[in-house]
Amino acid sequence: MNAIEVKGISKNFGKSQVLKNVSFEIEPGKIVGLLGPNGAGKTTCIELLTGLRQPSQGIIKICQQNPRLIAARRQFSVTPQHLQFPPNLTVQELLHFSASHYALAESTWAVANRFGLENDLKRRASLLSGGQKRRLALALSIIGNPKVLFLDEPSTGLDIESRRILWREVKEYARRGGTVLITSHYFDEIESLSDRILVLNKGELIKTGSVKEIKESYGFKKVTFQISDRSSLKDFRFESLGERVMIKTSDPDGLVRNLCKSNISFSGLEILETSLEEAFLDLTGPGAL
Amino acid sequence: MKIFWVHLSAQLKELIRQWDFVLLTVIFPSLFYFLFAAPEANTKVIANFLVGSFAAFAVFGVVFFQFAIASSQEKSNAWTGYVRTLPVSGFIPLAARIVSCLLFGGLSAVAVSLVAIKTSPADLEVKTYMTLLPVLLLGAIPFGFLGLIVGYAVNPRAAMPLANLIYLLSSFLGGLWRPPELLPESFKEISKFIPTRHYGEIVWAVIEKRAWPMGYFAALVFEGVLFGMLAVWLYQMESKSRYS
Repeated sequence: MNAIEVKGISKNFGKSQVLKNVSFEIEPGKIVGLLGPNGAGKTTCIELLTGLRQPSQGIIKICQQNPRLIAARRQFSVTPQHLQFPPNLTVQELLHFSASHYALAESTWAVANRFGLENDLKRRASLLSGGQKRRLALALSIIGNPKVLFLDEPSTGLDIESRRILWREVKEYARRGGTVLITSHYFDEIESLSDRILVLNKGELIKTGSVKEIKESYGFKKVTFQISDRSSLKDFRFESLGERVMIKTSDPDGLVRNLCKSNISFSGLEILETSLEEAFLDLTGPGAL
Repeated sequence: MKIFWVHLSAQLKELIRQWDFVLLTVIFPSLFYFLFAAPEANTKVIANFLVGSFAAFAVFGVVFFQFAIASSQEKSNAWTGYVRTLPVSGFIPLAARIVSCLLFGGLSAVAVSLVAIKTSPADLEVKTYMTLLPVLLLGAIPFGFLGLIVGYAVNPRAAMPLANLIYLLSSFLGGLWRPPELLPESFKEISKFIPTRHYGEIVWAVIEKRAWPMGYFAALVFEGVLFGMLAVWLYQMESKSRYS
């Protein structure tokens, strides 16, 4: 049984089509990253999956149920992109408020402790720092122990310590069998957390696969080395990286053989994998970030 | 039922800690009675009449502002969107809003009565109070809808100044601060068309143990239906743009 099933969903706002025939499935216990440039339709996708909006076409099932039904909403929770808290309620009151909606909720104190909020329980949430607010937003979505978690840009504006807590908690949540769909602008975050990636561009799902598969789809590796006489590289397309040069190639072994055959003197040779960011830019086109 | 208490408790805590709201809705009407009504309430009849006026002013303020703030925040605050993703019927937060409104409205009316008893010859029978309180609360329903209209129709920054303007003008023109007969001549005619006047007339009839003025009652019911329809329409428009 899939935790999330999306079949052929489209979403129109007036004449503009924000999502076009998107389909995917996510099994329980998996963390899936939803990547896409600004305006690709990521937030609309999360809004549809959490039942805030209705698709113009297609079917969404969260734990086999329509997310607009209360029964389905018992199974999932969401950390929205820009969550503002009621100005006069404390951290403890908000955690208690969210927890009260779920049958298997964890204790307020335990969750506050894990998210580094144990000393702020009596503080008004609106007075917390930006990082603390994001941690509280995530704590609110996790306290009810839902089966599925939607995280929309959870670490935007977070300090390093808060991101570390976020990564740890998301991994721990998935280890216990929870399913996560996460959108993020940070490629290292997606790379570190995701079992699988969905790449959304202009409302279309253009690629799905593991981080390795997405990187391999790029088809190039980077060969870098130091060279004193750059004129000897006149037959190669290279980029300067300070003291080093870099050549992109689909056949690094062949390139190194050619360099040797041409008697080019180089040192400090390294063959680097493509980064997720490069593969993403290749898929979505320049200017996507 | 437990989840209803959770929402009610959160809303009450949020309101009680907003000092400007408490000041405006609970303390001001009692203070106004003390400052402006008590010195003129020389007789029991006048004092009782003014208790009705200021209690109506108090309940009107609570109901009108609570719904204006709620609908305005709904547009500007992502928290409402988050609450919509929680496993709870949309009826629960609304019911909690209505009950918190009744509690605050009742509290503000009781505060006016207590100040009146202490500072003027006001002396209403318990039986009158028992009728007055539900009349005050039910009669304020059109103003809840009016608050929703202001919150939904106007952008959040403009909502509160506009709500204040409507609140002050309606209170004055409706005769809730000074009896309608004492309004300046040019306002007397306008007053007859103001919903707070219709509300006040029913409250005064209860205080004076008169038969309800059916014309004013019908006008208030009509306004309730009209404002209600407009509020529902604006709510649907708002929901359509944000959640469809």
